[in-house]
Amino acid sequence: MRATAQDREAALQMGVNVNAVNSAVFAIASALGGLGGLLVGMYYNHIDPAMSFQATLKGVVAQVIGGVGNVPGAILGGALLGLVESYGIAAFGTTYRNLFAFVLLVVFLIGFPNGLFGARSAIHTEPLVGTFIAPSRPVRAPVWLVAGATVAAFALPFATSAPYLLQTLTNAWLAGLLALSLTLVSGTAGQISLGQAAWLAIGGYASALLAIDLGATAIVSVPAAGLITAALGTLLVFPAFRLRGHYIAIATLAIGEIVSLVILNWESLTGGAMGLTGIPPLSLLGRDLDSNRAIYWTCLSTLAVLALLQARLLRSHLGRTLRAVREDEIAARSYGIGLDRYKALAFGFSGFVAGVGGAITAHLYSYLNSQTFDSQLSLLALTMVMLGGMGNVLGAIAGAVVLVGLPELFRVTAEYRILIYGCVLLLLVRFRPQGLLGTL
Amino acid sequence: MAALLEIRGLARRFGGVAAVKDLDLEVRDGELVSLIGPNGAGKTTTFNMISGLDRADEGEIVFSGLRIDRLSPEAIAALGVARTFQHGRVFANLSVEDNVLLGAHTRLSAVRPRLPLEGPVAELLLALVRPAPVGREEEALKREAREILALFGDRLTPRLHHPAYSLSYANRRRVEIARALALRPSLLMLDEPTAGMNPTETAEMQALIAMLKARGMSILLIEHKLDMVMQLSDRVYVLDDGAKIAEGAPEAVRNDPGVIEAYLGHSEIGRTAGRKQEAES
Amino acid sequence: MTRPLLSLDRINTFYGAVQAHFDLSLEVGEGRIVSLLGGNASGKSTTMKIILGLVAPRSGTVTFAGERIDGWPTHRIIRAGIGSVPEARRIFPLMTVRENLMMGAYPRDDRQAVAEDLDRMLTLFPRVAERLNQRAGALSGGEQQMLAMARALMGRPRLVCMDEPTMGLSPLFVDRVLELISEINRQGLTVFMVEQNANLALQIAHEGYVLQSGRIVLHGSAVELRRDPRIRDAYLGGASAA
Repeated sequence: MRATAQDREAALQMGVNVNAVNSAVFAIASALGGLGGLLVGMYYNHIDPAMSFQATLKGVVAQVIGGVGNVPGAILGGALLGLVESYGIAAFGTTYRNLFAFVLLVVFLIGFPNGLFGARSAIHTEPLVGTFIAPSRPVRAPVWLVAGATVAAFALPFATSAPYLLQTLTNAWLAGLLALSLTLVSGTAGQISLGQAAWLAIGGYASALLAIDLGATAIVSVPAAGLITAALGTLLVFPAFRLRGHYIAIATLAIGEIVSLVILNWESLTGGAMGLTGIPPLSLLGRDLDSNRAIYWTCLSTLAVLALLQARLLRSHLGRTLRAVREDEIAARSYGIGLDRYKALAFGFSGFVAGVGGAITAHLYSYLNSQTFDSQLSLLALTMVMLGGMGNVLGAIAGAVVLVGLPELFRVTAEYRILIYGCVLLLLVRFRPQGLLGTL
Repeated sequence: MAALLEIRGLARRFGGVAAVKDLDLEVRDGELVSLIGPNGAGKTTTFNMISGLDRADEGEIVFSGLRIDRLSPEAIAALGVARTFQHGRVFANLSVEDNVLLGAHTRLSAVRPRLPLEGPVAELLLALVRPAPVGREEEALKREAREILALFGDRLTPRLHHPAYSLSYANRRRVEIARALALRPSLLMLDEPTAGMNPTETAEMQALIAMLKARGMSILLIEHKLDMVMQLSDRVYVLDDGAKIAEGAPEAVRNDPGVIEAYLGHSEIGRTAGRKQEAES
Repeated sequence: MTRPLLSLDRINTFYGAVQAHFDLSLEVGEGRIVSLLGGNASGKSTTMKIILGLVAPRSGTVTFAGERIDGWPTHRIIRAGIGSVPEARRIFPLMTVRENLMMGAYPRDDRQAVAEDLDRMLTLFPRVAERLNQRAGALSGGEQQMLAMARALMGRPRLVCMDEPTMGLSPLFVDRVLELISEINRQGLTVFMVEQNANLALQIAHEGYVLQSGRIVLHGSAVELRRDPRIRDAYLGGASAA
């Protein structure tokens, strides 16, 4: 197993049946997990589908504390986590339960990346090519096609005023903003982020609070919320910049959950579980935008402008630099590219885009709580971006239209959507990792 | 006159093993200095300490009069030190042109304002707005990149927009050197630039390095191909087991009996085994 | 003439639309050292991948000890008696030298014989023996090459495939590696070696094939090839080309 993990192809050439070994690993791990689930169910006299996500995260926390691949470490990590949680709940109350797990996770990821018992190895194995991106030539859509599609999209409300169609596409444009933000940070800059929904939440709450408490109009509060999200989001992720590969994915996942839990618990600011009501609708020059058409055009224009800016960024030297950070951090540093600076820029810009998306959504829904932007949205974001092609701006929008538009069109209910996103993701990773339009 | 690069008392340990022991080394302006020695002698470790990827346990490294042994790799690159890597590290999914343009990253002034806190934000805004000076700088750099690539004949120029992963191994290593040249370094550090290349490719690379030297570039070279080392170098340092065992002009080093014993084995490589074979077949 | 231990017959390999081998045929007789020579884009590494089952040919057959092995999964090919010393060594960096050697014996279950072979390897490769309990990643390139060879031999193969065994090594280690290959061949092992440096390979090989852009362009005994001016132009390095 260790040989297979360290060098799959070399293990093959030792006569190891790598596929059988991997299957055995999953079988053993699943058996242990199942046993654990059985014990949890018997202890709490209760099981439900939502258990799995929380349990996964807690397992990850225990593993990080103990050190990857370290069996006694995993046991001790789990014990430590359990103790911290129990005492924490006793001190602060049950709603804080998960907060401890995630804070502990982030602390360990950043402070003790090898865990309490993991060996400190001075040997750094050089990657041949250090990237997760599937190499591909992006599909170049001709300019006239893109321009034509954009014009058609803007002209659509003139052709029809079917509310269902316009609302669906409006949702697609908003999802497009989320996809744009994720594709920049994970696709272009190579920093896998699984907590993107948190940025939407920060943007939404920021704009809502500015509007409710300070009476700011949308034209002020939305961009302001974007800037707040950019700054706050970057600050939150900054300590994780030193992490590599999948650890940054875990860290962003944890940070996303922490943001969500802080929103839940900071009642004085966010209204806690009750949320915020009476968020004023979007307005322009004093007039409320309440027709489907006006809302549609607002969202589409925002998406178009930000997409154009992001495309411009990609073509600039800055875009080139971000991709260098993704490709090979060591070579990048050796040519003067400061990693922290550029990762921060990527998270900053993408935070702005996501924050704007969250802000507009808040005004449209006129009600927000900590469940509005849940982790399912982060999964949706990832699926959209993979479907379209990592780093690909057009791909992000295409992914949004397909994954938000089509289920609506076929009247697929909410419970099945997660199933669809999961299946799409699996199929993509297996058969077409570069997505529909190719990675950039 | 002070040397371009001066190393005094450099030491590095990994666990209980001393990878580099008490090393003194210097490269003077316009010189080509070679670092040779058996595998594991500490040559690449020394390179890593000079370029900032690794930190020495003891000793000092002085470049153009500045102490650089505590600086980050980015800062050292900005001072004009460019290096290539033992196994070749190019930006695989980026085009040849992009790879070379990134080599010039430290030289861009229009695109990367040097203000401390506002710097990154300004850089972002400039990328989005793209005023004329930025465009001009980019065009000038693209022309320069083409000139650099032309040094490699027609090996790389027709592949300007191909992604680096699609190139042959030899071409990838050439791209790596082109990227280093785009930095316009005061010191060029090459780590086994001809590893894995056949004799024809090696000869081409040797000619290129000789040309760079003729143009006045200061070069620090790690190489195993001794003919090349002897023909190109002004001076040679021989390392073995982390310590310097000889230094001097190529001829002097080649005839040093201690060097021959530790490093070359016999003066005729491979011939002994060959003679046994011929006797049997 | 006895049947060759390994033979490739009219192999055609494709990477997508690009053809890498054109009706490639070669034979490795038992007890011989046969070298496949060629430049960077010649298709030599692909040949190794075909033999080891890492890549499937579109047409043609690979026969080992009388059995067709093309289409077999890699682990089955290894268990049939082919050992591999991969390009760039590919030792397991976080495992100790001893663990690496034991991985070489993975397909075997004759414990006593494995223990004997381990002792044999340590005698044959003293540099490796010195570092038995160190992490393999800490070894220098030349030592890793030794380890990779010893590891392959731990499987008691009939045929050992080596992919560019001298690449990136200092002259002293090149010397030692070549001597070791000759030695293990004298002890009865058949060796198939892919090498870029014809000069070095032909010092110890019995015969060679020269591959150019996916086609065999020359074949003969090592003595014949060393004298053939066509090879000399393209490949021979050393004193003549400098």
